[in-house]
Amino acid sequence: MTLIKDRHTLQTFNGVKVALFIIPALIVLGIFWVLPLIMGFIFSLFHWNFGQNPVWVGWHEYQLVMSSSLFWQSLVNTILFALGVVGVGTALAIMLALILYQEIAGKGLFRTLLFIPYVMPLVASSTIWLWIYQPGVGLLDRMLQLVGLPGSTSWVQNTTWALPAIILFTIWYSLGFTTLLFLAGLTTVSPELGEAALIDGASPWMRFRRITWPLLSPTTLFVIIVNTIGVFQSFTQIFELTRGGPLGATTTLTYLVYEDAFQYFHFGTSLATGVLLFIVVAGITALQFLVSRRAINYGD
Amino acid sequence: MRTLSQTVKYGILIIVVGLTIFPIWWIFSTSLETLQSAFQFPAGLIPHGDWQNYLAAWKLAPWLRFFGNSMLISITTVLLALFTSTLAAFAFTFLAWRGREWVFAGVLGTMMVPFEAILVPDYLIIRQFDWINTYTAQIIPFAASGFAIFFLRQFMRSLPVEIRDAANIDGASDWGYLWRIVVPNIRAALATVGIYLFLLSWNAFLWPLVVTTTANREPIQVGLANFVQTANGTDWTVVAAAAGFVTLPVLVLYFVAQKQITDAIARTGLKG
Repeated sequence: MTLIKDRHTLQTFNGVKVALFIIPALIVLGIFWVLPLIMGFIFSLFHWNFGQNPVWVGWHEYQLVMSSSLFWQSLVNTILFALGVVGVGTALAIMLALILYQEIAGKGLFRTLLFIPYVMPLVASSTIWLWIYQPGVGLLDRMLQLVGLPGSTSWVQNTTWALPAIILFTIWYSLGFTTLLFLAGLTTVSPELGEAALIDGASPWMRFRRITWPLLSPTTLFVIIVNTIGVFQSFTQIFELTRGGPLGATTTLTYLVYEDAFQYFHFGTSLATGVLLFIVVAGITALQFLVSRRAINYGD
Repeated sequence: MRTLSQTVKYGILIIVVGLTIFPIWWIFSTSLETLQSAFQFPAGLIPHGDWQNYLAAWKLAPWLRFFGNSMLISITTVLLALFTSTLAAFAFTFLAWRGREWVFAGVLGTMMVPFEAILVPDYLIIRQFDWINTYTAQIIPFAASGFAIFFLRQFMRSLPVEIRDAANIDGASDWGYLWRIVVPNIRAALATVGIYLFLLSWNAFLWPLVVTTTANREPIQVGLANFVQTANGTDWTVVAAAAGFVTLPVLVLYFVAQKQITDAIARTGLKG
């Protein structure tokens, strides 16, 4: 009898103790991360403008979202944004990482400088770029004038150039970060392989193509996924540089969620767009979990 | 041949790193110009050493208040999140209980949720709590982190089993084991997660933009954004000065703790 009672007491005690350890974290994650996700799914089935009572409408808000041209434009913008940043940023970062991984004088300084934009507050750096993109007097137009071009483009107020302007800013801002991830990835590539190939007379390009690139591919995949998620979540630079404009030319899914709810007070469609954004990003993140397990091996 | 490839490498580095740094140089030089000289190019690239803009910008908004708000919010968030996440990671590593793996899977699941997707429901919750325009609204939703729990648990699992056995023999309680043995042994991991959480909180923009309504609760990022909006197009030199002194503390921190910061970012894959 006593044994059972003791075991029971012990279990109760354990349960309370476990609860004390996990409950603070679970309350926060439950109320501010899990509950809103569930709310998002449920509330998106209601029609709901600011100050009005919610009305059950089933999939109607999703139909509204799907039939809005701004939604499709945002989706296309988000994908182009991701392709631009990931494509150009990854290529540049691999090149820089390969150079900076070698023994060359001053590499510490180059690495330090390259990383500065990434630690700057995004609001401050976006503001700098707003000035750079000013038509006629901004740095970009001044540089173009120096080489004899007209140099009077309103970069961020122009439907053609606004998205490329956002992409250029984002590449500038994240290049140090991406390079850092590749430098970490390169530590997993054994130098002996390259040396053996050198002895066999392989050209630098062949060594890169046949040895470094395949061994680096898990890192490349990880970088592509992390940067894609980053682009999907980008908000600050869009808010500061273009406010999603002109004419929706730089509205991304994340910006649309914000704009719908907090500029137009259409909570129903904003919630539905948020659910769609969640599904896309969660899918990409699940992919990241699968690859990051073996992809990253940070040596020092 | 060797020197040629060396030259090409340095050429690439100097061009790319130069282009990276140039905008920052330009903003600092703009911030030291008068409005007329800022529009002269390329003469405007050499700073005049005119601190007027900094004084002007400083007087136009309650910057000290913004800085104070950001410090308060970021430091409190980091301390709370480190505390709750360490406790949870401990329970997921060292305590045996039913349903542990399921709850842990749930915690990992929160890492897959982009905050932007739950922005509106979270806003509605905060409004229900009557937390609009408070520090609480900017701290409590981030007072625990699925990523921090995951990361700290990885480190706790790597502690040698012998330490645990020795602690058991000495009769240390779980609580004592956590604070006297586990925490001192995962200091590096705590520092990494702490830096990650601090940068995340300090640079947060969308959430404070949505939940704050007055300057006395706004963090520095929202303060700067509002300042740019009101000053936009009037005087770039003053805006540049404001951007300059918002950036400066972070740059100083970066140069002081560069190794820890780059390490934290490389290990955590932090992305703003």
